[in-house]
Amino acid sequence: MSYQQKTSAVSLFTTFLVFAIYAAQMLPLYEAGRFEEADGAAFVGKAILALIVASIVVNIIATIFFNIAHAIITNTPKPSFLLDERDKAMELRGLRISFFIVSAAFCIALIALVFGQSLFIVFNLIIFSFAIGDATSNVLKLTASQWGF
Amino acid sequence: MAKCNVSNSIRRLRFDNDEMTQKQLAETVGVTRQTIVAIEKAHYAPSLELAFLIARTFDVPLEDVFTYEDEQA
Repeated sequence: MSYQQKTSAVSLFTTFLVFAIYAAQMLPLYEAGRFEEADGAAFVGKAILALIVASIVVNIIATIFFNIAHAIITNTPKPSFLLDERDKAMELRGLRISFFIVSAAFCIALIALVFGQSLFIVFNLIIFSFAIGDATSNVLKLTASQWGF
Repeated sequence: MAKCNVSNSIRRLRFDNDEMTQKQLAETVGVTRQTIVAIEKAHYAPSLELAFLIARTFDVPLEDVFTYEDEQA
C-alpha cells in the first residue's frame, strides 16, 4: 500500500466514524420530534455545522496520529508526499464521482422537499451525500492499484 | 480488471540495466513505485512526458519501450 492509499484508508475510517456518531446522536432526537419544534430549522443548521467542524478536526487529528505512527513503524521520518500524474488522475476521477453523487443526492433532496419531507431529512440527505462521495473517492484510490482505473 | 492498449518492456529493460529496481526507476523519472508497477502491468498508460523520461532512462527509443496494441475485434 502506498502512503496515499494509507491516508485514503484513514480518511475513509474517520468519515465513517464521525458520521456514525452523528447519526447515533441525531436519530433519537429526530424520533423524539426535536426538529419539529419552533427552532427546529435552526437546530438542524447548528447540528450540521457542528458535524462539518468535527469532521475536519477529527480528520486532521487522525492524519497527524497516522503520520507519527507511520514514521515509527516504517522507520521513515519523511514519508514521500509525492503526488505523481497517476495520483492526480485518480483524484480527478474521484472528484468527478463525488460530484455526480452529490448532484444526484441534491436532486433527490429537492424531490423529497416537494413531497413534504422535513428540512432535517433534506439537509441530511445532502450532507450524507458529501460523505458518500468522499468515501467512494477514497475506495477508488484504495482499489485502483489492484483493479486499475 | 482495467487494461490499457499500451504494452511495454520496462521489466526486461530494468533487468538489462544492472537489475534496476522499480523504486530506482520511479525515483529517476519522478513518480511513485506504484505508478511503475501499474505501468508494467499495463493497468496505466503513462503520459507522453513520462514515457519519454522512461525511454531516456534506458537510453533507447520510445518504440523500444512502449507498443500500442490494437483492440481485439
